[in-house]
Amino acid sequence: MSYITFENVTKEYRSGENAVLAADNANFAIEKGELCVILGPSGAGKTTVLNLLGGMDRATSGRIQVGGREITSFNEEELTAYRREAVGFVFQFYNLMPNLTALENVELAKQICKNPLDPVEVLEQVGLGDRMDNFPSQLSGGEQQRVSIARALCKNPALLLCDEPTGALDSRTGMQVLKLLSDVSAKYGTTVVIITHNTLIAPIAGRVIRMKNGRIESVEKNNAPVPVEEIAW
Amino acid sequence: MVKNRLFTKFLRDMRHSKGQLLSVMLLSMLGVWVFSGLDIYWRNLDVSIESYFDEQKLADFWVITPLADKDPEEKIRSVDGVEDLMSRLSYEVSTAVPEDAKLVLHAVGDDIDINIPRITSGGPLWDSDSDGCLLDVRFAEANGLAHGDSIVLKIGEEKREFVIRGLVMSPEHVYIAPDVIPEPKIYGFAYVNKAAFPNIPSNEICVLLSDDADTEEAKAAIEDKLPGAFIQDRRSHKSTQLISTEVSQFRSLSKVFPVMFFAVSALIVMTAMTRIVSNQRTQLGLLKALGYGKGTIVLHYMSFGFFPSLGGAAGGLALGRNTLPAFLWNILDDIYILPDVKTAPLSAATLTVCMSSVLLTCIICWCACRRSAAETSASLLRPKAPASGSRILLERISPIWERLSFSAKMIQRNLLRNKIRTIMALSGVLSCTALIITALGLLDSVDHMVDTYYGETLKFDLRADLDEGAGSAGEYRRLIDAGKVEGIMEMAASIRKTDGNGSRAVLLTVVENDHELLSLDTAGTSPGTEETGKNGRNTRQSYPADSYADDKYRIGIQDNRVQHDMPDTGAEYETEIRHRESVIASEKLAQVMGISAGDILKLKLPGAAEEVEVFVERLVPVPIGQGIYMYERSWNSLKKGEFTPTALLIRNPCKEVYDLLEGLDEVTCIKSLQTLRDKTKEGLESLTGVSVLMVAFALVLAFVVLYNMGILNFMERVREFATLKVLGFRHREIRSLIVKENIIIAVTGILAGIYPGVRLTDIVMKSSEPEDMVFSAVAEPTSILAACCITFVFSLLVQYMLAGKVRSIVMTEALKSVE
Repeated sequence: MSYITFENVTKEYRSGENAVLAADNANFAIEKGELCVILGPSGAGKTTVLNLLGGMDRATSGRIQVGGREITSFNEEELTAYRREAVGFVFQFYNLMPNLTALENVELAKQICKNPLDPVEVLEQVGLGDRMDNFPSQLSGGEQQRVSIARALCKNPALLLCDEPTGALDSRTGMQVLKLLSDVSAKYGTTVVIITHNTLIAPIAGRVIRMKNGRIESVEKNNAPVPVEEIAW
Repeated sequence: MVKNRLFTKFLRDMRHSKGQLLSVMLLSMLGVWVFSGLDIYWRNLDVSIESYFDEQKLADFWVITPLADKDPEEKIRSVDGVEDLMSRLSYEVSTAVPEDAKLVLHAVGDDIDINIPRITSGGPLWDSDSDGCLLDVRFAEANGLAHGDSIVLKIGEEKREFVIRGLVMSPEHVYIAPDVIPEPKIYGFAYVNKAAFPNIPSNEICVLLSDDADTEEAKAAIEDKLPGAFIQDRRSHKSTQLISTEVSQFRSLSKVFPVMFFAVSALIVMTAMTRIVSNQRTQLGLLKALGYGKGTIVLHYMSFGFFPSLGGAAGGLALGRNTLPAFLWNILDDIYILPDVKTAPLSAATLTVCMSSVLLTCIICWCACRRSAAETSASLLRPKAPASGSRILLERISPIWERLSFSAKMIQRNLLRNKIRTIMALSGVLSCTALIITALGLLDSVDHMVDTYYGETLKFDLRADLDEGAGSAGEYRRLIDAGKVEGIMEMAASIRKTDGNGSRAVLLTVVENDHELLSLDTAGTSPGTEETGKNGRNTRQSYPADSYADDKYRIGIQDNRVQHDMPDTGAEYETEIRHRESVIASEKLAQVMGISAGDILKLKLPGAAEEVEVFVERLVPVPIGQGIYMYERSWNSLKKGEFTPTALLIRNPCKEVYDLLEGLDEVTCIKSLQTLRDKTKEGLESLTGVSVLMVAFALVLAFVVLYNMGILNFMERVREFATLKVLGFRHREIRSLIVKENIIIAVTGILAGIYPGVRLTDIVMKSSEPEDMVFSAVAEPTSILAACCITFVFSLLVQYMLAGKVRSIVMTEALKSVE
C-alpha cells in the first residue's frame, strides 16, 4: 500500500448558490521517501491538496490515508497531533511570527516536537547562520522563506510539504533550497511534496502530479530524477 | 528549563501592542480604583463611627423632661430594654473668656457613663472637681487654649471660671455648629460636674438601650410613662443623623459611579481584545498549522487579557486603598470631629469587583479567539477576503452622492462599511460625554438646590435669631426700618401618625399669616400637586388653602370641611376637621414618613403633656431642612402661648438696621442670606469633593477610550495609509482624511451622549439624596456644553496624535508581508 493515498477526495466551497470545487474527485498515491512535485497553473487546486494532506483543512468527501492512518476520519485532537508530529509545512507567504527572531521562530516549532533537530544547525544549513537574531522585518523575502523552511525541517517530520518554496527566490538561492529539500528526502527518507507552477523544476522529482481545475490530470513516476545542480531556469 | 517560545511571543506581542494593553490595564485600574476607593471609604467611616459610638456609649435617646415630672429616672429605668441612663443639665452658655463664643454645656452628676467624651490631651475630670471642665478640642485649638488654661462662662449674670482639665471629642458632638456649618472658634461644647451647679436641676436624661431592645417600642413606652417628655432618638439627633447620612450617601455613590465606569471599561476592553485577536488571525492559523493544540492557543490569547487586567485590578486596589479614602476623609474631617480611622476589612464586594474585572476580560478574550480557534488553519492563513462591496444607502440618493468630493465618498464608505468599528467608536465618545455630564451635573444639582432654597424658598436678606427676651413681631416691625420684617417661631416638636407608633422629632416653624419671606408655595408650577395616597388607590390633589380648582379632583376647604374626591372608587367623603388645626408638611418628610395631604397627625409640643391632633393641609417642596409649618392663626387657636418670634426675617434693610440689631440684647446672631448660602455650600463639600473626583476620572477615562479607539483604527489601516503614502498623498492630506472621519464620529457620539448623561445625573442624584434634602437633578446647559467641548477637544487631540503616527509609517515595511 502506498504511503499516501487520495481516494475520491473533493473539497467544495459553497457561497449561497455557487459551489466551487477546489479539489474535484482527486485520486493519487505517493510512496514513502519520494520527492513529489505537484504542477499546475494558478487556481488548479494544488494548495488545496497540500492543505488537505497537511491536516490543515478537511475534505468535503473522500478518503485520505497517510502511513496507514486515515486522516479524514481524525477528530480535532488527532489532527493537531498529526500536524505536530508528522508534518512540516513551508508556506508560500512564509508566515513567520513578526515579533520573534529567526532563531526564535524555529524554536517555536521545536518546542512541541518529540525528536527535533537543532535549530541553530538547521538555520546554518539553510545559509542563515549569521542572520539568526534578526526579525522577519529585517530579512528579505528569500531569507524569510529560508527561515520558514528551517522551521519545517527542524521538526524532523515524516512528511514535508512545500507550497511554492522557490517562488520569491532568485535562481541560485532557489537551487540551494531545492538541493536541501531533495537531500532531506534522500538522507532522512522524508516524503517531500513540492508545489510549483514552474515546470522546469519537475525533473528533480521522483513523481510528478499534474493538476488542472481541481482535477488530477496525470500522475507520472520518474525513475531517473535529475540532480538539482543540472537543472536551470 | 526549555525556553518557551510561545511565552516569548506573548511578551513580544504585548510589548508591540503596549498602547492597547496599557489601555486595558488602565481601564481595569480605573474601574477598580473608583469602586474600591469609595467602598473602602464608606466602610472605614462606618466601622470607625460605629466603634466610636460603641466605645464611648453614645446614647440611644436624649429625653428632655418637663420640670414637673417626678422621678423620671425611675420611670424610664422601668421600661423594657433600657440598660442605663444618666441625668444631666444641658444648657447653651456664652463665654466671657474667650469672648463672644458659645458652648453647649453638659453638667453631669456622678460618672459620665453615657455619651462619654474621649480625651485627646490632658487628664480626666474627677467627680469632686467642681472647678474643672473638659473642653471641645476643636474649640480649644481655634481659640488657642490648652489643658491647664481656664475659661470664663457667663451663667445668667454670673461669671464662673473653669479650669480646663482635658481636651476632648464627644460621640454626641461629631457635628456641632451654631447654624449651618461648624465654626469652632465661636461654638463648641464642654463637660463639667453637676456639683458646679448645685441649685439647678437636671433637664436631660441620656438613655442607653440594650443591644436587643426595640427602639420604637422603648420610645413609645417612655412616651407613655412620661407624657410631657420630648424624646430625640439617634435619627433625629442632628450630629448622629448627619454622620449617618454621610455613610449612606457614599454607600449609594459607591454603587452607582463605579457601575458606570465598569460599563464603559467593559465596552472598550471588548473592542480592544476582539481586535487584538483578529489582528493575530494569521499567527493563530500558523500556531494551529505547527500543531499547537486549541487549548494552548486559547490560553495564549487569554493571557493577553489576563495579565493586563490583573495588573490593573491590583494597581487599582492599591490606589483605591491609599488615595481616595484618605482624600475623602480629610474633606469630612473639616466639618466633623471624627475619631481616628479604623480600617474595615476588605469587603467581599471589593474583592468581587477586582475578580470580576479580571474574569470579564478573560471571558471577552476567550470569546474573541474561540471562534477563530475553531476555524481550520488553512482558512485562517488565507488572507481575509475584503469585506464584500455593498452600496451604502447614501449612494442611492444620486443627487447628493454625485456632489460629494472623492474623499467625502471614501469617508462615508469607510464609516458605513465597517459598522462595528464605527459603532464602537461612537459608543466610546458617547460614554465619555455622558460621564462628564454626570460628574458636572452632580455639582450643578447641589448648587441649584442651594440656590433654590436660598432665593426662592427663603426670600429674606437678613435673619436675626432671637432668644427668650424677644418681643412681638409687631414691635420689631415698628422698630426696624426695612422693606419687610417678619417673625418666625421655630421649635422642636414631635409628630406621629394616628395609626403607627413611629414618632419623629421635627422642626415646627410657625409663620405669620401674611408671610412672604419664607415661601410655602407649592412649587409655583401647576396649581396643584398629585400624590398617591398611602394605600395606592386614591389619587389626591392638594391646593393652597385659599384657592380652589375647577376640575373634579379637588380638595377644598370650605366651612372647615375637607372634601376628598376619590375617582377610582367612585366614593366621596367628607372629613370634619372642625376641631383640628392645620399644618403644612414638607414633601420629603411626607414621603419619608408615608403621609399625604389630608392625613391626621398627632403633634406633641415641647413641654406639653398631651398630644394635639392636626391635619396636614398640603405638602410643600422644600429642598433643605424638612419639617412642618403652621400659620400664626392656627398656633393661636392651639392656645399654647403667644406667637413670640425666635427669629426675624428682614428684606431690604436700611443701612442702620444691622447696627440696630446688634444693639438689641435679645438678638443672638445676625446672618445674611448670602452667608447662609455660602455656608451651606461649604457644608456640602464632601459631595462636591466627590464630584470633582468624578470629573477627573471621567476625563482620564475619556482620554484612554478615545486613544484606544484611535490606535486600533490606525493599526488596522496601516497598509491603507502606507499605500496612500506610496501613491503620493501628502501627509497633510492623509491627516485631514483621518480627522474628517473622526470628527463625524465625534460629533455624532457627543450629541448622542447628552441624553444618557442627563438621565444618569438623575440616577446618581436620586441615589445619593440624604433624608433631609431633595436633590433635583439639574444639568446646566453650560455643563453640557463643557462636557461636549472637552470630549471634542480630547477627540481632536487623539486624532492629531495618531495622524502624527502616519508620518512614521515606513512604507516598505508596512507593505512588505502579505497578511
